[in-house]
Amino acid sequence: MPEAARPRPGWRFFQAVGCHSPRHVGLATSLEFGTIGPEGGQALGGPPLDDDVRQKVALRRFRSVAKRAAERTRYYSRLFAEQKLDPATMSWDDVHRLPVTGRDALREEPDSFVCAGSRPVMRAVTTGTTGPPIGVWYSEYELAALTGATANHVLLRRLIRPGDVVHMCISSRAHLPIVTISGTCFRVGAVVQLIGLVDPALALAQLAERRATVLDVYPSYFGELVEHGLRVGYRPADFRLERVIIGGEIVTAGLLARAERLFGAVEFIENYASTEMVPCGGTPCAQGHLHFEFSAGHHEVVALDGSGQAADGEPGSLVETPFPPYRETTLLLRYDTEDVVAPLSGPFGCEFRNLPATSRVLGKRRLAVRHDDGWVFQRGVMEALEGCDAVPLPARYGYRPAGRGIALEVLVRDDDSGVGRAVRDRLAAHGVPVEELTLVTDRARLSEPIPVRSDLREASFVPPEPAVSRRPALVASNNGR
Amino acid sequence: MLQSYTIAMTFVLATLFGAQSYLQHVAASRPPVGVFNRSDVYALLFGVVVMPFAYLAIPAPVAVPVFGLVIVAIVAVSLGPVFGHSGLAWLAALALGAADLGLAAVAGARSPAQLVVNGVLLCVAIVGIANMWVQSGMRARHLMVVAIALTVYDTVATALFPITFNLFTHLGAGPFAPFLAWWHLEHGVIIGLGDLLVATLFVIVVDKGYGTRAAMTALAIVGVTIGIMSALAVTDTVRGVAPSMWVLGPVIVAYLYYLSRKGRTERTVEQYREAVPR
Repeated sequence: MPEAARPRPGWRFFQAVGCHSPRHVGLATSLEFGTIGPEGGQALGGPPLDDDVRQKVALRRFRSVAKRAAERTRYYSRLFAEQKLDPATMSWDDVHRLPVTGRDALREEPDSFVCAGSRPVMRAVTTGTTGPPIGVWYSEYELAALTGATANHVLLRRLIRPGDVVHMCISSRAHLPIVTISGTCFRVGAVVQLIGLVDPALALAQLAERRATVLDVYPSYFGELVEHGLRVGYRPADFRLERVIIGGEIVTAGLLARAERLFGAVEFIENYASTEMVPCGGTPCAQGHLHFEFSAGHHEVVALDGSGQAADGEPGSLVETPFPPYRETTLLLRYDTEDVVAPLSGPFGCEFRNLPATSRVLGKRRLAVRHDDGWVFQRGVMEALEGCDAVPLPARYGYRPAGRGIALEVLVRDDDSGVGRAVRDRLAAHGVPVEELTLVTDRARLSEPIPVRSDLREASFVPPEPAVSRRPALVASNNGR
Repeated sequence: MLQSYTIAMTFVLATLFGAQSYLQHVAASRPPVGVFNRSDVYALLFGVVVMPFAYLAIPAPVAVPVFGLVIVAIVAVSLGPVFGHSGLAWLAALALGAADLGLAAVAGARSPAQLVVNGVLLCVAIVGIANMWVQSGMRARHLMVVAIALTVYDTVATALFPITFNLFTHLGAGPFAPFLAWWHLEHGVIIGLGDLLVATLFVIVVDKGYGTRAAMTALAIVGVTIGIMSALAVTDTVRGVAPSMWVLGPVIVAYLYYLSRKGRTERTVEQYREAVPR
C-alpha cells in the first residue's frame, strides 16, 4: 500500500504563491487545451502493439497479479495449491486451466479475496439486480487511482468538460461510481449533483431547472425519464442536456430513438463497467464493437458450456482479470462476469481499431435460452420491445424456454390485436422465436419480470410533481401574454 | 540621445505587440501530452541563473557561436508556424544569423546595421519563446514565481556582484549579443534579454488569462516602466548596469496579484482560443 506522498522541499513556498500540486499529466493537458495533442493517445497509452507482443505483456502482467493473489489471498492460495500451478511461470494454457472465479464465490466469502497487508477503506456493493449484492473492498489509493483514471478517460473523450453540470441518476448505493464520478467532476471543473433513482417527475424537474448538461444514468431509469417526460409534455427546449452517459444495463436503439424525442439531439455515450471489475471496462465504438483497454486487465470469452475459449462470433461469458496498479486490495483472477458477448477478431476499421473487441453485451448468461436454431439473449428481446412504441419504457418483460423458442410476457400500453402483431413482428425482425406471447397492461400481472435497476426506486420527502401536464401550464401562460 | 532611445523603445514595443499578435494568430508547437508546470519554472530559473556563469567561464570565441546557434534555432522554430514551412523558417533564421555574424565582422560589432539585425533576431526569439511557454499553459502564478526569483537574482547578479556587467562586456563586443542595444555618439541604451522576455511574458500571460483590455494595461505598465528606465539610462541619470527587475518584478507581481484578486478566473488556452479564434 503506497503511503501518502510527503510534501517536497520548497512545497510550501510554491503553495503560498499558488503553484498547486502537479496533476496527472494527461488530465492537466486536457484541462488546459481541451484535448491532448494528436499523438497524445499513443503517448499516454503506449504505441499500438501487435497481438504477439500484447499477449506477452498480458501474460507477464497476469503472472504478476496471480503471484500476488496466490501469496496474499486465502481464496487463490487454496486454488493454486489445489491446481498445482505455479503463478510465476504460468503459460497461457495454465491460465486457461485455472478455474474461473464465479460471482457466487466472491459473494459468499468476499474477505478471502482481500490481499493480506492491504488497507481497505471502502466496501463497494453491487446493486443486486442479478442476485444478492456482492461486496468488493477498495483502498484509499485505489479510489484515488480509479478517480484519476476516470478523470483522464472522460477528459480524453470529452465526456465531461469544465463548466458542465452533471446529474447522476444512479442508485445512491452505487458507492464506487459515485466516488469516482464525483471526484472526476471536482478535478475537471464540472459541478455534480447526485439525484439518485427518485420519482422521474422530480429528476426531470431537476434536470430542467438546474440546466444540467450531462446526465449519468442507468438505461432502465433513463427509460422511465423518457416515458414520463413525453407523457407530461416536456420538450427538448426545456433541457440543456448535451451528453448522456449511459450504462450498467443493456442500452437499446429504441430507447435512444425515443429519448431524442424528449431531449433532442444529445450525444449518447455508452459504457460497460462493473463494481467488481473496475477499471476493466468496455467502450463501444461507432461500429458496434465493445473494445477493451488491455492495459487495464485481461479479457477472455469462455464458451457458454465451459468447454474453453469461445470461437470468433460464438457467444460466451466475459471473463476478466483486472491488473495493478489500479487494483491491489480485492484481487480477482479470471472473474466470470456472466455477461454474454461474442469475441471478434480484427482487423477493425473503427476509432478503437488497436484495441481487442467483442460484440456488445448480449445479456446475462442465466437469461440465455438455447433453442434449435441458436440462442435467445436479452438484447434481442429488448431491442425488439423498446423499439416498439406500444411497449412503455423501460421494457418490462419476462421469458422462459418454450418449445422451439421462448414464452414471453410483456407489459404494453394496450393489449389489442394490433399491438400483439406489432410486437410479434418486431421480435421476428430481431430473430427472437416466440412460441407464446402474453401481453399485459398491468405490471403486477407479469409473473416473472426481469428486474431492472430503476426498480431500486428511492423515496423522497419532496412530493413528486402533480400528475398534471407541465406543458399545458406553459402554453396557458403564453396565451395570456 | 533621442535616436538611441527611440530605436531601443521601437524594438521593445515591436516585441511586445509582436508577441501579442503571435499569440492571437499563430499556434506555437506544443507537446501532445504535457502542460507548462512547476518543473518548467525550475528549468527556466536554472537556465537564467546558470547560463551567465557558463558563458563567463567559456571563452568568447566559443560562447558566441554557441549562443548564436541557440538563437538561430529558436528563431527558426518560432518562424516555422508563421511561414508554414520549416525549411523556409530555417532559411530565414540562418540568413539573419549569417547577417549578424557578417555585419559584425565587416561593419563592426556596434554598427547600426549589426545592431538592427541582432535586435530583430532577439525580438523574434523572445516572441517565439514567450509564446511557446504561454501557449503550453504558462499561468500567472508561474510568472509571479519567475518574476520574484529573477528580482532576487538581479539583486545578486547586477546590484551586488558585477556578473551582468561582465556578461555584457564579455558578449557585447561581438555578434549575437544577448541584449537589445543602441548607441548614438556616447549615449546608449541596453535592455537585457531576460528583462525583455519577462516583460513579454507578462503581456501575453495576461492576454491569455484575462483578456485584451487587461493585456493592454499590462503592455502600458511594462512599456512605461522600461521607457522610464531607458530614459534614465540614456540621460546618464542612472549610470552603469541597473537591476531593472527591481522595478519590473514588483510591478508585474502586483498587477498579476491584482488581477487574481478581482475574482476573475484565469482562462486556459482552450478558453482563450474559444474567445479569440485565430
